[in-house]
Amino acid sequence: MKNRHYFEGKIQPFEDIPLSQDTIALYLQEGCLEQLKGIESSRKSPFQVTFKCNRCLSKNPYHFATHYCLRCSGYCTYCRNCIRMGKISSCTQLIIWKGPRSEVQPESSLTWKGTLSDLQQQALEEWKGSIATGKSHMIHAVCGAGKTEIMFGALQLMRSRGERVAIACPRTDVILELAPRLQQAFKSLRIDVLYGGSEKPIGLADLTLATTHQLFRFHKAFNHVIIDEADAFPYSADATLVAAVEKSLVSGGFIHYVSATPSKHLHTDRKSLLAKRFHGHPLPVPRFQKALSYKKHLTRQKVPPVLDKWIAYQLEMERPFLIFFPTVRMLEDFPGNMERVHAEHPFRKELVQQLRDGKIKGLCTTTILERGITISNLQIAVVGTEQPIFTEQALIQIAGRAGRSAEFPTGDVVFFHNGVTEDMRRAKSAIERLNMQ
Amino acid sequence: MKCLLCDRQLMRDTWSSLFTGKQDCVCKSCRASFNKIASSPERRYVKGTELEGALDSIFCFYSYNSSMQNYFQRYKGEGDHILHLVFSKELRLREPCVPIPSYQDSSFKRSFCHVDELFCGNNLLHLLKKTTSIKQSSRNLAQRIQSSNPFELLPGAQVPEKIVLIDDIFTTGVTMNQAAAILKKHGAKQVHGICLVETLEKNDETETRKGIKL
Ligand SMILES: [Zn+2]
Ligand SMILES: [Zn+2]
Ligand SMILES: [Zn+2]
Repeated sequence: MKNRHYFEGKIQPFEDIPLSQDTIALYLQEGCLEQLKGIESSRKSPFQVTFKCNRCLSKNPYHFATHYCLRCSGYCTYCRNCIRMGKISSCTQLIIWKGPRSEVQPESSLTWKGTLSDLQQQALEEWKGSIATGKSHMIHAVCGAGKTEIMFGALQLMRSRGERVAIACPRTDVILELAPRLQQAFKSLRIDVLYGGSEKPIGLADLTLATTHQLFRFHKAFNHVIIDEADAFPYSADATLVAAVEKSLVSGGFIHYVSATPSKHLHTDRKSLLAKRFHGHPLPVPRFQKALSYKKHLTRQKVPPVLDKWIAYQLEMERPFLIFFPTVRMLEDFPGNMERVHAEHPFRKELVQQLRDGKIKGLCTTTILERGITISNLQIAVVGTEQPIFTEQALIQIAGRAGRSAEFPTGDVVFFHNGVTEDMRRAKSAIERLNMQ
Repeated sequence: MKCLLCDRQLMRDTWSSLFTGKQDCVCKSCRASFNKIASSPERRYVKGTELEGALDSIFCFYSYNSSMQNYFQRYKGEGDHILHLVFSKELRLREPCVPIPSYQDSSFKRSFCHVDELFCGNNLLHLLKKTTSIKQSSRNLAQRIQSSNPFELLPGAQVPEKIVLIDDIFTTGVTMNQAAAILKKHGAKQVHGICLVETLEKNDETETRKGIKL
């Protein structure tokens, strides 16, 4: 069928498909397509109705809201869990593919010419063993261990077996950082990059790179899904995302995990541990710096003196630096004209690139940049480290931004605080433990 | 219950909220991220045009900032209807209100009228309809003022002498003054405007930050 690529592997609202209504109706009649209600409702008792969203599979009553709908002229329920990808209501028709699957041409197309360290090579061989014997695998690699290069090898094997693969990550920034490297490593492959606000390409790519939320759009599409940075918020907090990842797999497909700080909830058949960075230098150990009245200073539109000194020093040494803040509000209220980025910032991508290119000297950020950012010789400060948003895992990731290049394998990581927390202590000792391995 | 905006668990903070059920539907930090101003913005845009004085007064509750931008992106852009509750308690007015209508087709796509829902606790009088369908934000100011009035009275509408016009965002005031002019032409003596948010045109914004300069 010539229009199969519009449908295969996807679950999408009728009105999003760029084909005429008659064409779609014909395919439905022929049985190549199936139509699902956007929101399924079932009445348990006269007073209790339960809902299920057929795109994101949420059944959490908290995710649903009802209002009078001008489209269907009646009370209509919609899903708030996946609304960022377009509103799915009771009156939405979702279309899935029922016909035969297309063949994937097996090909080995790795154009990356680098070499792996012995540790990376060993982890890759273990992973390849899992792929060959039909097992799921976890790569536990410290920040800067070179997990992406290990992933290249695994992707090459999956592709040469004629299997479809998606790499999913909870964080858009990680996706944006990964996309060019992946395209560089597989020059001839079509790689689709999906995140909130990205284009929605037609058909299934050779490789799909997507935020975990974007996997909601897929239905029986992939043989393998690799979850990168598997522990990052919000994936670890959201059970419906696990269901969505499973929905995107063909039956008998595999979920693999790659993470620097894996939580205990992730289960795979086999595991590999990489405790050393690719350049062999130890991880930078954070230092704690008291800034007892930082809140008072900030509310008076003053930079806390210890931080002021730190920034002045970085400027003098001409090192790029990142300052992490616990809240968007504190970030925005920070005095001065330093560029700042947060989750909703439209030019986040561009600002990070400017920092990398040395066009700007420093950047203020929320925890949104805790992962995936690789900038040579980067120095790190965290303001208000005692705040609960800075969990052990977040702090390990933040510290892992420093000392990533072989040229500058060290870097300053300062946690400014008004009281050392258990999470701060645990993050520091976890890093020290890994350094001793 | 969770915060409608950030999904964090809401704390029941006082005993009275338990009894009265007056629990806020968003958390304290989300609430604090909006910039409450209660202002009556001055606008020079309509000065010297035929629209001058059509609107007798204007009142806005908030000034536009990134949190408000995010709010409108979700409420109006994505169609997250339940977010109308975030401000509906503040938007209770004594008089009946006339909402600025939106274009038929765009509200069809959104599946609800965002202004009507925002002011849902009020007695709404639908008196106006829009006749053209060019988005205001896609034209510049001169074009907006020169353009002929896009509003029309709905057939059979009874226009009271005193009217409260309501809208979501107040920028140049041209829209509100155009609507007020039509209502006055049809018998209204006093037209007062109430908007949730006041925003400035881009080039009017002034940088007032001090501190570290890079
Ligand atoms: Zn959903
Ligand atoms: Zn509907
Ligand atoms: Zn909140």
